[in-house]
Amino acid sequence: MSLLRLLHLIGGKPLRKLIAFASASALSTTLVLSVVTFAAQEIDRTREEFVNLPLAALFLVALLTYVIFETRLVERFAADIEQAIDLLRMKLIYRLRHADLWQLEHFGQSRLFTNITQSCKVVSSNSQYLALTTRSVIQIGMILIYIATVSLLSCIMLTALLAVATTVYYRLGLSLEKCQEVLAGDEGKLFECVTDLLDGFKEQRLSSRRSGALGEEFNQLSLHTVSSRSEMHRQGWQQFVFGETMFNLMLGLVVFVIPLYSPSVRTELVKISAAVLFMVPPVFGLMQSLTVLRAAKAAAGRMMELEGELINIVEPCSEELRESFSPEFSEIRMEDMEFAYPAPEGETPFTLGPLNVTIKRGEVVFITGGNGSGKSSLIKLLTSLYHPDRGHLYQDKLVITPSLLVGYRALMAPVFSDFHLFTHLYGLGEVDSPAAEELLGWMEMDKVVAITGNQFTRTELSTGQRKRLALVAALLEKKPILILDEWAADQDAYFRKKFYRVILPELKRRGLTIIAVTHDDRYFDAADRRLHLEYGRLTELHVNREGQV
Amino acid sequence: MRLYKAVLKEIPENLKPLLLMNILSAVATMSLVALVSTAANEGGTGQISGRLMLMFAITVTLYHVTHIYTLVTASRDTERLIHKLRTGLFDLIRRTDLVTIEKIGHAALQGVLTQDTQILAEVLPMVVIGFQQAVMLLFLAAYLAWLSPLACLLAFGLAGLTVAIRFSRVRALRIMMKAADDAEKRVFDALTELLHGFKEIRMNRMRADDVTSTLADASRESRTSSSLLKAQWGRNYAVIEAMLFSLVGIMVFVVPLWVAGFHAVILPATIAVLFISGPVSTVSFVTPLVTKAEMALENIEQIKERLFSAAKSASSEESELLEKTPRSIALKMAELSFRDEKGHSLFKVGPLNAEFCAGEITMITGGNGSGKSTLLRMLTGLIPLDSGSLLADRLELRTGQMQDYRNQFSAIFSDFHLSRRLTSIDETDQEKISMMLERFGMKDKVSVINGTFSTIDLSSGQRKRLALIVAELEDKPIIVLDEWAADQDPYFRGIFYEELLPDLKARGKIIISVTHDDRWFHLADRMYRMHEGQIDEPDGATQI
Repeated sequence: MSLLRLLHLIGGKPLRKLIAFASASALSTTLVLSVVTFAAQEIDRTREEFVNLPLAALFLVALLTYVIFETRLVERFAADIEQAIDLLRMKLIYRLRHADLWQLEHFGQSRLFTNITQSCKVVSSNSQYLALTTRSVIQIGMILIYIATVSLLSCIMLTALLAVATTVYYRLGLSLEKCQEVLAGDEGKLFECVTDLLDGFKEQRLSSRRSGALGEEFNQLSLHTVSSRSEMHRQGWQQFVFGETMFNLMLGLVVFVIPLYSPSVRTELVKISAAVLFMVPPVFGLMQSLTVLRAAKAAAGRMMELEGELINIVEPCSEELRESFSPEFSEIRMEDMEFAYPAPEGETPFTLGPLNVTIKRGEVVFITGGNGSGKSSLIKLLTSLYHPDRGHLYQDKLVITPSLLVGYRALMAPVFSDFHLFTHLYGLGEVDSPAAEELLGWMEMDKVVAITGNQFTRTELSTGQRKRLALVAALLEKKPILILDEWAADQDAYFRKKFYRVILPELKRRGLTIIAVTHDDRYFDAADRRLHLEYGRLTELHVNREGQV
Repeated sequence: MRLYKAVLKEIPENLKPLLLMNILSAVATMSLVALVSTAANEGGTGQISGRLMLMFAITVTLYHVTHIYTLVTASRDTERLIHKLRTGLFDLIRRTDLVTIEKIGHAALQGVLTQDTQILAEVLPMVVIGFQQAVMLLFLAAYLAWLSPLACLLAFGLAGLTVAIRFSRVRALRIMMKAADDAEKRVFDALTELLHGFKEIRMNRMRADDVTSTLADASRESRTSSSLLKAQWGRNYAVIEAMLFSLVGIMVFVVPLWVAGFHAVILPATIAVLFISGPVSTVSFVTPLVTKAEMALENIEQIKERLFSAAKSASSEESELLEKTPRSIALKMAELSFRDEKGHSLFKVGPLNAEFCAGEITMITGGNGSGKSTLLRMLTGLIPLDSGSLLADRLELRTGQMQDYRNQFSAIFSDFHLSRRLTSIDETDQEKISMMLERFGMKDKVSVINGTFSTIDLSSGQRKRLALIVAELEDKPIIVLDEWAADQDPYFRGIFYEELLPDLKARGKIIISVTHDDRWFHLADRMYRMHEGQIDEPDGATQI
């Protein structure tokens, strides 16, 4: 069972302790039961009001023991589960960190999110019920044993009735779960309708018909949800009241039926009735946690499964700097690199390449081409984030093998077109504050954002502004090669000009090698060389200082 | 209190029978206790009367039936209440103007329509059973008081204390719960950074180390705060349970000290108290939930109030129709300012003068933030102008005509929304749909079944193609396209400019297209260039 496997991740024998605590707690409640009924019967039998002090003391001790062990049980189990989740989560994340980009892009991010966050939450938020389940099982067993010591016949009959009742109750629960699924589906549709209204607010304002239809649909869906939720409630309450009725019948069995068969029990009926009543909370608790238990089990299973799947997408030699790698270079080169996108059956796949490019240190190279011509993939090949089907990357005479990837990538600081701006300047160690301030000023962001510690004070800015910050972060890395994918696309005319006429030349002067994907034909002359991609083929175009080709 | 008022106002129909059945079920419980005690006593004498058994059978049946009736009916009624609240809100939002909606904010509206109604749906049945059990407790209390007033007083004193303790501890628990949620959110955020910034992380090992260690910290923190929360939960739970056990303890160890003759009723009293502990536990669980329901209801009512006045004035825009389908629309000296909270002007668009005519393609260009999208919002009547006016066929629009004016538009904004259902079209012409799907290369990916797209989980370029198909099917006189071609590959871009726009033009539509594709500027009959909220002097475009 996956929950136990999860628990065993923390090592040692967590289950043993858990069962010990649960037993102690169950034993003390059974003690409470027997002490109380015994005392009540004593008073009834002697027909005198008196308080049996030793018994009262025993009662208090049992109560205290219960509180201590019940608390410890929940606490201990939750701590164990949390530890196991933490371990597994970090294991998953460690795997994830080493994943191959292409494979990760095709793995499905939502699945990763749900499994790492949601599944953890399902297991974590239900841990107390899982702990109580264990206790409930033991407690029910002990109470039944207690009944057996009073009357074996009662114990047998009650156990039989209890078994029948729990089976039916469980069955009712299964059909209730189906109702819940139906309801979840209906609510999904209802919420989709809400999204249609709110996200499509402008659209519905432009069409009375659409607006009316939307209102009518929401009304219908809401009615549907009402009926399926009511049905779920109906079944839920039926199940609940069935449970209560079964307990009432158990009491009836004790006071009406058992005395007929076992006359000797007659004086002990109160004991047995009280015992039946004591079973109510653990039985209901157990029944209710069965659903939770199943959900938690499934969630734990999904997490463990994910762990296995993530092994398969790990990039070979990821992050292992096996060979020494010199950051000094005079050129980097793509030789005969080809990359094919998988295509559906019967269609010719889009192929990028063969690409042969040499980029010399200190050059400013522009890459141009239409949408879908393969520019961004070329960037991913050049940065070795995608692995080519054929061909290799070189640094001078050195071919970039998997074990050199980390060193090779460390030459470059990229700002991708679908860049991510981290709130923290991760990976910089101590931030070079004067340099950072200078860069912020240069990007005209110093009035808007500051860097405190290693963190931008704010990042909820326009795309153009966030790209400027991403460039600041990239430049702070102080890498010899800067890679930009359509960096200027979201800048206004003024800043675009500044970028091509001031910033790029200055960066070049500082010795950076710059590779930039761009559409800004007005500024093509800012490059030393221009490479043009068309349907996956690369050609070199000559650049003259007027920017004309 | 809000809850009580809402119930009285929205679902008063079944209250009387519900109360009656609830009382009946409580009476059944009470007699059950009495019967069991009597039978347990009589069993001692070896005499079981048939009459007692019959009464037991009747009571159990009554208990079962009344219980189910109360719970099922009350739950169904609360569902009706939620339905009324939910659809009322939805319709109000529908009728409200864009400015109000944007002011209240997407998140707040989504919150009341989904989260708050969901909270009510989950909590109200609990409140129902809490109420039902509370009534039951009243009758059990009466029974116990009949056995021994002091026993009743002590037992219910302790029960009240239990409820109070549970209630008082909820706050502390909620604070811890929030801490645990926050810690979990930090894990989520860090994971988001890892996944969204994956390329950047792969490029730099030190960054990977930093991000991973942030995640590890967040994960550890989440572990700690969740463990703390659970420990607290466990303590609360154990204390409450122990108090429920003490209810019985009181009967046998405390009450006999003071009540003479208690020995005669000690057994029924003990059994009665055992019956009490379940309902007490439920009531103590439910009491804090009432606050939760009240809070959700308060949110809903507040938003409703804010929407109410806006929706009322918006409905005054529906009183009149346009005289005829407009052949031209125009903005005349139209101005709009964006202001910050203090009312300082941040950005001003206009005064704008622009005309758009039937059978013409009008293109609008301009840099980011030049005011193109605002112009479209002004022109489509989605936001009221600060000054100036909207014209249709060169006549100023009256307020009452605004909704009919808006109905003339099909628009695909840059932040467009594609809904799965084709709600704006009554008859879905299958042939035309499949032709359009084919033309836009979507036939293998999407089909239309029962007026619903089979999927809309597509790239943004593909979804825009579907939105265009919807606009085509709506066949309205004015079509607005905001950077439609931006996400399309060269092939569909060609189809769009060279086939679709001319086709729409030939059909006499007013076509308004915001675009950057200078290759196709020559197709425009009119061209407006926007710059810093103004339309530049027309260059090469026809004068109005």
